[in-house]
Amino acid sequence: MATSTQENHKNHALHNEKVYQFLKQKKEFIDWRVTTSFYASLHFVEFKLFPLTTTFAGKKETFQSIEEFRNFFGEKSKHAARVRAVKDHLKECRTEYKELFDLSMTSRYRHYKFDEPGLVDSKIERCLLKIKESCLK
Amino acid sequence: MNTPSIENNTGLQVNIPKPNWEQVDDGNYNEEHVINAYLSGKESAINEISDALKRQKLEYLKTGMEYADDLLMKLKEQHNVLFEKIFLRQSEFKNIDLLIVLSSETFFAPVMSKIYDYTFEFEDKAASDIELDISYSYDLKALDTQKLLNDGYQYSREP
Repeated sequence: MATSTQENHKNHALHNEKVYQFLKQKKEFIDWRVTTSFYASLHFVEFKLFPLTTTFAGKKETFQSIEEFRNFFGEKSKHAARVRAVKDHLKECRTEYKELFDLSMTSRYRHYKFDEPGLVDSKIERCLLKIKESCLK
Repeated sequence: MNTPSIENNTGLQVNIPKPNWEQVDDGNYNEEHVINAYLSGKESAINEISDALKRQKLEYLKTGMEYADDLLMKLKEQHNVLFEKIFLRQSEFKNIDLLIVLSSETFFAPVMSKIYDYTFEFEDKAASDIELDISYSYDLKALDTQKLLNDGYQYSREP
């Protein structure tokens, strides 16, 4: 049964996805379409991943949250920890998660301006759909 | 009986517990020498450790650059992917972050799924030597390189 923290992540993911769809329909704010879709995917993966039990150095470890996972592995940021957790424990959508992560980082270095909204939306929709399906099934 | 005490030439006085200890001061050797020897030894050890760490950090940087060159070569040979520029930062002692800038045609092409899969494998293979985090971006002319520099991407190279 999902815990309230998991439910929060799921609801937050669906909320952000709705915002993305709304902005896409309005054909506005491509920068926020990138941001909202990435944060939807972030909450989808946290919903699916935690609590996470894994074996490290022959010992079973359980993490309730990304913060615990990050502290244990000494990752430099929560984003880096999440990328690692998805890469190692959510392989079916790790490529799509990293694609959205990179798109989101690219947005920062482009001053949130995109000249190819159609291509950006196609990438977002393909990745977000895969992540959502993988996490909610 | 009064507890005997020792006194050094700085005027500090310390009580010693047993009465059969006595202090002979020939004026040439005292606890100051011991402390100074300890401090200079400690300083030289710290300097040596610091130098060793700097050397190791540079080794990791060099290893990161070698992996970057290797990856770019393999992307070209195996996937026919060319890059516009690569940026590198040493985000932590053993962590090297690579940001590979591609053309927008490549970045939005279906081939990127394969590139990411290949990149994950590449990161895993490198993990015994170094912690590599590889990301992709696109269209160099649209990127704010000053912002990249501010984020620590001090190194870069073009094809």
